[in-house]
This record gives sequence, C-alpha cells and structure tokens, in this order.
Amino acid sequence: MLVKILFYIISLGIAGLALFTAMSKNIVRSVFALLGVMIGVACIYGILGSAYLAVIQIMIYVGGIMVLFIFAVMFTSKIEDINITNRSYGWIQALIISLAIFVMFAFIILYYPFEKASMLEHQSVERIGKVISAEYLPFLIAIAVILLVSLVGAITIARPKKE
Amino acid sequence: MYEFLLIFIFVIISSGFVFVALLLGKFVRPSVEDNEKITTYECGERPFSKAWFNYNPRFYMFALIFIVFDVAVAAALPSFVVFRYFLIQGDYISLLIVLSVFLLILMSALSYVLIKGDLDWIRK
Repeated sequence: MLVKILFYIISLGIAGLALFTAMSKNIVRSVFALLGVMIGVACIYGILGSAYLAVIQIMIYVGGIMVLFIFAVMFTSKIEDINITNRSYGWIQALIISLAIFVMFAFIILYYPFEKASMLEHQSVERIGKVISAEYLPFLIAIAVILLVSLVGAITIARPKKE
Repeated sequence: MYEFLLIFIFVIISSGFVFVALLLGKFVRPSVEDNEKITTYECGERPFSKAWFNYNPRFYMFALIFIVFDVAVAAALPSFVVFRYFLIQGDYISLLIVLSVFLLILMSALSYVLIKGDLDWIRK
C-alpha cells in the first residue's frame, strides 16, 4: 500500500517535471527539471526492485548525461538573456505526436502479455551478470566497439579546430 | 526493495528537518534587513558578474570522455562481479577472453584521447 502511494507520488512528480521541461521558457530551468525526471525514474526502478538499474540510472543519466546537457546549455548563445532561451513552437504538432505515442504505449501496456513478476523479487547484480556472462558475451565486445567508435567520433566533432 | 523504502524515508525526514529547522529559526531570530545577506555566497569571495555565462568548451570534452567510460563500467560491471562464480565452476576461459578484449578496446580508446592530447588542460 505504502509502495503504491509512493509510486503514484513519484509518477505524478515525473509527469509534472516533464511538462515543466517542455514548457519552461528558460532553458536552464528546463534542464534542471529534466534532472528531476531522471532522478524520479531512478526512484521508480528502485520501487520495482531493480537496484542495479536504479544505481546505473543515477550514475549515467544523472551523473553523466545531465552534466553534458548542462554544459551544452551553457554553450547556448545569449544564455544571459534568460527570457528567450527556450521558446515553445508548434504546440499542435507536438500534441498530435505525443497523443500518437501515448496511444501506442497504452495499446502495448494493455494488450501485450507481459510476464507477471513479483514487485518484491530481488534483481541483483549477480543475476544480471550471470545472464550476460552466459548468453550475451559477444554483445559486450560489441558495446566496447560502439563505445570506442562513439568516443572517437564525438571527440573529433567536439575538438576545437586548429587555426 | 525495503532498503529503498528506508532510503526514501530517510530522504524525506532529512529534507523535512532542514525545512523545519529553518522555519523555527525564522520565528526565533531577529530579522535585520541587509543587502549583503541576499548576495550569493561564494566561499567568502565577493561575487562579480552573473553565474550564467558561456563555459569554456574544454569542460565538455572531459564530460564526453567521462560518459563513455561511465557506460563501459555500467555494461561490464555485472560480468566482473560474477567472474568469481565462473572461476569456481571452471568455465571461465571465454569470459576471461571477452573481458580482456573489452578492457583492451577501452584502453585503446583511452590511449587515443591521451595521444591526441584531448586530456591536456593546456594545449600546445
């Protein structure tokens, strides 16, 4: 019961912060609202009993991606002029696309035969590790190669050009 | 699961504690209006200009490099954790090879940024 109340509070918080992210006129506030969304998602993972995923969410999204976002926002020109940094365009188009995505997710959630798992079931790092190490070993190499390629590509793009 | 509930209750109580302490103090302390009080605290330095300005792009490069190794840790950590079990069972050779190759590829990524000088703060 307590867990359910907690779940609804966190979900409401995520929805509100996501709306704030989309609608705030100030891009820095948008980014910090997005930070709150990420932390809320981590809380949801925690509630669902997936400790590893919650920690990873905090580590990568909150600790990494959002820092990158904040840096990227701080490169925006005219950042000091706070009122024009994040104009909202195209409300109707956005509404149509969001509705389409909502209907899609609703159909999947309602009609896909998800396996029912207990909310209290413990998903430990060991279990994930055993599955990965037994069945998905080649994918680890693939991940490493993808990371190498993306690092080289991103650095090449981000590197300041020599005069 | 219940550890998380405990953490959550801890967060609620600790943030509530800050709120309650500040609220109680508001009633007790004398209120003296002063412009110095509402300036941003900068560890004793007097703040000048605004905090919202364009950062040095160099920070971004470090964040990018950090993210890549962050994701690598997240992807590989479970396999490193269970390596012990595979060692006991005896079929650890393939896991050992894959993890070594994984580390080797990431080391080559690190050496790439080191050789290219992207980690030097002062560029030549």
